Amino acid sequence: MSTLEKAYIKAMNLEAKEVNNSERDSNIVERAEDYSESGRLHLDTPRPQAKEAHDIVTSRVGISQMNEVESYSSKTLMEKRLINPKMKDRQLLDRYRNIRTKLLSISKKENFITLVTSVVPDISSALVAGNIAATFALDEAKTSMLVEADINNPQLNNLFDMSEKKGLIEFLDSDTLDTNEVLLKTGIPRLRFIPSGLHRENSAEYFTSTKMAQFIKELVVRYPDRYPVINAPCVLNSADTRILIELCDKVVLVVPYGKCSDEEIMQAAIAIGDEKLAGAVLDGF
Amino acid sequence: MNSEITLLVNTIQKELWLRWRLALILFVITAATFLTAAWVWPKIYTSSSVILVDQESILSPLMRGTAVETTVRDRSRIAQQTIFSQKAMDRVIASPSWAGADASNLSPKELDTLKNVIRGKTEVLNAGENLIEISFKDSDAEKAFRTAALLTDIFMQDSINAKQEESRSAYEFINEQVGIYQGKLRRAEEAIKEFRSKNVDATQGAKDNANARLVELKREFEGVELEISSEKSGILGNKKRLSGEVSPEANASFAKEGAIQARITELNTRLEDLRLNYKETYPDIVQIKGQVKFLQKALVAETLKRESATTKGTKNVPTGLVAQELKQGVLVSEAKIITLVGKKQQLQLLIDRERETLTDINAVEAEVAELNRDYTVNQNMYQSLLGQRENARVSMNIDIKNQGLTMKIQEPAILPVTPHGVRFAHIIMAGLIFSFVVPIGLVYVITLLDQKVRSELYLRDELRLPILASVYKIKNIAVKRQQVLKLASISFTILATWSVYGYVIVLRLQG
Repeated sequence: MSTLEKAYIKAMNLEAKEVNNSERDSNIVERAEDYSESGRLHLDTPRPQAKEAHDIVTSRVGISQMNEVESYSSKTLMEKRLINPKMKDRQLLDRYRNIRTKLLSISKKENFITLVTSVVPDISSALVAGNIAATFALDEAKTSMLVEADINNPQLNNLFDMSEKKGLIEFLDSDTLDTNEVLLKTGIPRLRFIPSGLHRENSAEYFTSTKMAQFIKELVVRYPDRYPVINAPCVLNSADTRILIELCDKVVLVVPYGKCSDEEIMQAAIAIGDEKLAGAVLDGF
Repeated sequence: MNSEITLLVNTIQKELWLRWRLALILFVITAATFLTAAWVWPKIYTSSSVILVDQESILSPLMRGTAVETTVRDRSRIAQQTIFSQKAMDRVIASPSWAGADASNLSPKELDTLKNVIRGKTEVLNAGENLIEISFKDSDAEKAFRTAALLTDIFMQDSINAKQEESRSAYEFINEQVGIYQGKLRRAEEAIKEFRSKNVDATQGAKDNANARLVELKREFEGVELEISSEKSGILGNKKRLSGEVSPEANASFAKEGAIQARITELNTRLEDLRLNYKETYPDIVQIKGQVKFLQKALVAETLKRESATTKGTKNVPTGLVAQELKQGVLVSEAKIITLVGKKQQLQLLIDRERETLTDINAVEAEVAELNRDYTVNQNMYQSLLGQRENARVSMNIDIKNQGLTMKIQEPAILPVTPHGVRFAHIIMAGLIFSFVVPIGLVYVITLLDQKVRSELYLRDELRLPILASVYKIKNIAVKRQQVLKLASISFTILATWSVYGYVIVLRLQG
């Protein structure tokens, strides 16, 4: 048995434990996250007293317990067409891991923002984005964050049953809303999701705002072990996507089988640019 | 190459799966079309007969060397013309298999349609070098057989009639030619006869006579001329004597001189002969030399004597009886000349006439030769045509009695048992195959036409796009259920179609 396989089995066991003791696990995760958040936020301030820290942790645990989200079972994930470590189709799992490895290898930064867009409007883009985020979350040392930026057709909102929640639009629109209020837990451990929010017109107006730029910057600066993945509308039809490309580090172009011509693909690749284009993910080929 | 085929198969498979509704509809439509076609497709029975035909025409052996005959190149085309003729078609329509007795009640348009139908079902082929195949197709086996047999009969009958007609016309043609040449010959004979009667003298003997006569006349003519000349010189002599220009002594002197000259010449000849054998001192030579010298002296003396007499100018004019005689002589000679001139003119006329006669005889001879040549040519032609006419008469008689038949039915038409050509089973088989081929082909064509990218290789190699991975959507229960439903629909449709096919086949087998 190779070292890789041993590590894999260990990861599997841990996942299993995670599912069984979801409550405890989530607490641990929350604590870890909160700790890292507070550490980063108050880096230049003196460390609080142990009691204070204990109080903060207790209170956060309380909040986290209030927002408790039940982890999705493997079956549910399969139903949602999302990968999970228990799935029988190891080939697909390995392919997504491969994508993750390639993204990590080509990125020069510690963490980076990945934008997933499609050549033509298709559900593939949302699923690939969700699955890439889920793949990052497989690693216990990493967390991932999925952002639905397809305002007009928010497939991910439906996927995570968060159609009615406030999200990105509300955050950008409001001065009072905090990131944490829109950063929602999902049934997948270590994966947070920002829904698109309630439907609005002229989303480009929001994306060009300085707040959006700040928000994107915050995503990587505030959580160094967190890998944000943004699902954008198809690149050829959407101005939003072109703006978002500017703000992101790497772009994954989803090419659905038999739906786009070579000209469309080339146009999409040119729109993204060689520097940002991490590569194409072929769906259904 | 293999990877290309695999790619093609995979693409078709995927596209069929994606466009399953279209493929299924096409499958059902194609299968139904073929099934309907198989059901309504008429059974075609073909009956055919083969006829052996002699390629040689009756005219060729008869006219060999005499006339060039036009060759018959395409027998089957002639057969086609015979069979498709109005007369033949009328006979077929009047047969019981077709309109029968009702044929006379049909309108011209109906008749025409029926004829076209029959023509369309009939086929005349060149089955071999000398074989003609006549076949007839129909959905009714009995009708096919009867019509094929009838068409064969019509063709045979027509051909025999045509052959008889041909040999008769050949005989008539040769007979006509014989008549023409006979007429020509007769005319040539008459022409010769007429010419001969017009030119009776124009015989070979006449020509010889004319020639002999001409020679005689010429000779006579020359004699007269000589005589005239002699008389003229006689007159001149007499006149000179009368005038005294010429004396009798001088004449005697000339004669003597001549005699001496002749003697000298004779002696010189003898001298030359002797010198060949003897020297100059030989007595005979010496004697002859002396004689010659003596004679030369005498000659000189004689000349001198005559010349002295002339220079003296003494004219010795005759008188008296001598002069009378001389004048008489001159008058007689002049009278004789006048007579001779008259005779000469007469002779010239005769010669001219004789020459004309000779020219005429030559012209007549040339004309006769030409007439004879014509006559000979015509006679030869006539003789050979007479022989050929007899051959043609025999050939015609043979054909009239059908003894020289050069056509026979090699294989008669029979009643066909199994249908010919495309049959129910063939269409059913085609339906089973094409019901799969058409949807696959059409889906593939759509795939080719829509210009969408379906190949990872293309993206990588042609568009040079970096590929992160190729993924697919996880099949959740809804998708799986949908796929099962799809598979079930496809299977059910195919099985249902095949069941219908089976049912139709059973129905057909039961009649």
